[in-house]
Amino acid sequence: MSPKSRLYWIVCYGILALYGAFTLLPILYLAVSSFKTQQQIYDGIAATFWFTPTLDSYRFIFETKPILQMLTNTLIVSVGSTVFSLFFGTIAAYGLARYNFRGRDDLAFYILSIRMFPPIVAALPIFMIFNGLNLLDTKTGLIIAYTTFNLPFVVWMMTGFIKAVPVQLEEAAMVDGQSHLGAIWDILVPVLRPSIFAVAIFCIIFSWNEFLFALILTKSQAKTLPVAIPEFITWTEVGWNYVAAAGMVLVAPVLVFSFLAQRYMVRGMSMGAIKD
Amino acid sequence: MASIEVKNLKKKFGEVKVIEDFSLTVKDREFISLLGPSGCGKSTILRIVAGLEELTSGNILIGGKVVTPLEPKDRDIAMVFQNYALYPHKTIFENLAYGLRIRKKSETEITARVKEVASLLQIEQLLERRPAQLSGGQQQRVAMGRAIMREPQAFLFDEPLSNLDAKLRNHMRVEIRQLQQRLGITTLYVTHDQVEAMTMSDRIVVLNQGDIEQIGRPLEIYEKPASLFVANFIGSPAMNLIKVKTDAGNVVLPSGSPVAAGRTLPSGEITLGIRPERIKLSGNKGAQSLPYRITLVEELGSQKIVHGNIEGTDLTVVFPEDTALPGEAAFVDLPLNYLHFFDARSGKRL
Amino acid sequence: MLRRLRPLLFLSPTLLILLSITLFPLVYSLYLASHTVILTNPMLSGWSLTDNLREVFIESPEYWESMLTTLILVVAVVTLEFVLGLMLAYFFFSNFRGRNLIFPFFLMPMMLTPVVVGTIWRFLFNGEFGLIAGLLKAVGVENYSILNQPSTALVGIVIADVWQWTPFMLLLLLAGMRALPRSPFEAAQVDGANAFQIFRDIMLPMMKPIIIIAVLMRTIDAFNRMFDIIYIMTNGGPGRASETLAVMAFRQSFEYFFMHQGAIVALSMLVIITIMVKILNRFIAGRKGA
Ligand SMILES: Nc1ncnc2c1ncn2[C@@H]1O[C@H](COP(=O)(O)OP(=O)(O)OP(=O)(O)O)[C@@H](O)[C@H]1O
Ligand SMILES: [Mg+2]
Repeated sequence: MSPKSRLYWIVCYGILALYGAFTLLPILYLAVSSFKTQQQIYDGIAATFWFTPTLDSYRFIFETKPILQMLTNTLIVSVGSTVFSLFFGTIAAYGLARYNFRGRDDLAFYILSIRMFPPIVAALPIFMIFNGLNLLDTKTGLIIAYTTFNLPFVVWMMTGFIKAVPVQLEEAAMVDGQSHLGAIWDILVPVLRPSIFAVAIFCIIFSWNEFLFALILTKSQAKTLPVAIPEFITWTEVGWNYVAAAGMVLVAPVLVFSFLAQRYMVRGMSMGAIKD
Repeated sequence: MASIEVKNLKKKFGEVKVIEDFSLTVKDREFISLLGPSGCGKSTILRIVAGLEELTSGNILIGGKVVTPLEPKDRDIAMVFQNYALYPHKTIFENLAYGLRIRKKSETEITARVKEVASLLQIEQLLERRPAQLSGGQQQRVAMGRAIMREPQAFLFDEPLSNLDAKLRNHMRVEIRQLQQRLGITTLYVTHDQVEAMTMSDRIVVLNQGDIEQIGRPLEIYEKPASLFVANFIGSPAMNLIKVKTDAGNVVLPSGSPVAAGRTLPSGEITLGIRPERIKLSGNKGAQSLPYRITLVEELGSQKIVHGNIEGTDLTVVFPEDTALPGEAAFVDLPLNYLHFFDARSGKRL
Repeated sequence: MLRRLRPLLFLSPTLLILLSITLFPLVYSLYLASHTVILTNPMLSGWSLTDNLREVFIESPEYWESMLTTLILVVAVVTLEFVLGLMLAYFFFSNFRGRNLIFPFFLMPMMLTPVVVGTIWRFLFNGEFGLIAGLLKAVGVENYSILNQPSTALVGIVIADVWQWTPFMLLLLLAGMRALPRSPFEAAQVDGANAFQIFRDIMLPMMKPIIIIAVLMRTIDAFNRMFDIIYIMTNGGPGRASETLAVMAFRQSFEYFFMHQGAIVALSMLVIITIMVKILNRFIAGRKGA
């Protein structure tokens, strides 16, 4: 881009600094509050960032609530649904990307639109159906429910990614003596690995953060951590420090994870919208 | 080594017929080019021979064996793609070795063969790199190398040189031909570049909308084009084609001037063809000369391309560089033995 | 012949799964909508579609109030997120030192669990000890929370949603800017256009397709998923001041246990979203064709 005037840079830095503060402050507020005692919460605005940190809140929530179990549930359901959706979704994406058949575009659109449907529409009947099938409050049930948004997402993203890989790569492998499935496994899958990785990260985060299905479909055994947050609030309205600690346990892994995998995520995000 | 036979090939994409009825035999060790304009079905034929595309009806034989129902992996052919299709996640060594690995060859055998092929193509220093780290010409060589690794029954090329710049293209043209002759591998080569087809092939197949216009040796096709399409497609600058009428032993130009045909022609609409490089242009009027008006001269260094007309009929002439052009009073002679006649309606050679 | 069936082979497992998790619930929703299904009272059950429809759409204003709330929220958040996202994207599009270092921090909110985002803002707005209440105390206003006032509760929710999802707009729009060809910009510069004219006359028109897609995607998502944050921050209150359609469907079903009413509200959302998705698809398809 062309050189910018001094005024431009003043405005640019000014607004970025302001918006940056707006973005970071709430996260910092969550973090610092989780290291306070209940008394310190009420110490007034001057003491917001100036206090003696303690791990009491964390100790308390881990001792009084099955946080560890809920965390495990969240992880199992996230990974389970991601693996399941990635496996079937990538295979379906291959069919959409590599074959031209009548109705293909309509089919792709149908799959994409499932991703965009209001989750509440699926949640009500799934609750009634799971009730009948004894799948309420099971991790299996939740994994199935999460498939409603993860599977279409995988199909949609992976179709774009596969289309971007020249079909001649697989053909070259087949001419080299490989079978069709062998060529996919030997050549296409390794080339797609970064894309698969990006899509997997998104699926895990979507599932990890999911609330509505978990709220409706679980009670205790399969309960995930997001559902516990509002319970903490009603349970101890005044104990913001405890809620903050639980919140930190929930978001810290995602934040660390997303910083580590940032390259893949930005790529995956923008690919989905820009390409194709 | 083996022959490739294509018998009564038909191909439809849905309702669209792309290949009507195509038959061709590539003899053992022969180099045949499929030449034709974009979209005429060249790649489709090649991919059907490779087994990458299903045919609607017909048969493919390689080495006398019917391979129609076989998958590409069981046809023992090698193919070089227009975009090279090197495996981006493998080193050049592994790109070359892949075909042998699939066949479970021993590590020592693979290494020895890769070394051998790499030295043949002078890419030894590239073996540890990945495709993205190579130039276009180097990628091209690796793609060639991958094709010759297994000493397949046949080579298939789909416009392998079209992504290279002009100079490299000329160079690789010679290299591919030399390699093919040294290894003696039967080759089917797809191109839309007539120079490639002319210089490399034993025989050329000229295709037009899925139909064979002519099969023949390069010079045969140049000197005796079987149809208007071939006459127009082969040669640069293109053959002069003039709509004429017949009159006894002569043909009559649009302006009314007669030109001796040297033989009897059927009456009716006829197209007269003559290559620009066969026309004699001079300042002297001979018995058969026609008056010629020069409108534009293109200097190529090696020769001049002269544009002009005979009494309103456009005619292009190739003129040697070292001779001075005639001035206002110019005349052209159209030598009898270089005249081509085509039926204007069917396009067939007369 | 066999090859023609191959795409079906690849697609069939996914299609089976998707059909069973969409078609089945859809049919079941229609069943719920056309009967009287009250979880606490299993006896009451029978065909009552017209009664149900009248109850929801005509006899009480609640549905239409929620519709209005939803529309206000969606329009407000998408507009703000677009304007802020575009501005930030423009700044991040210019080269400055440290750009790649600070960029990831601007994206953080959209990774966070919406429930936690709602919690943070609920406490930020808390009248007793919240950060904002603390600031207000300094100017003499005691125990004030915008979430407690019916007239301002929506503002709090808008702020929380804008905080979380502006980064998404930023990401998409920035990617769109980076994908633009350079030559029109250079041509405009040579023609003597100033930075603002280049932005207005070159950049915005060229970004129109991606802008439309980004705005529609956010609109659909805001319409669909504006549940978690509200559930935490206000649970639709005070009163029904922040009860969107999604929250209404949930409360009808799982607080009052009128499953049929919840189903009707949810299905009406489905109809609206289908229309929006169709529009989105036309734009995506249009871009492909171009
Ligand atoms: N998968 C397909 N589905 C439908 N039509 C196809 C398909 N592949 C090729 N065609 C059509 O078949 C015809 C021949 O295509 P082909 O690729 O063989 O042409 P070509 O001679 O190789 O052209 P080029 O020189 O441009 O590579 C074209 O009209 C093309 O549109
Ligand atoms: Mg081709």
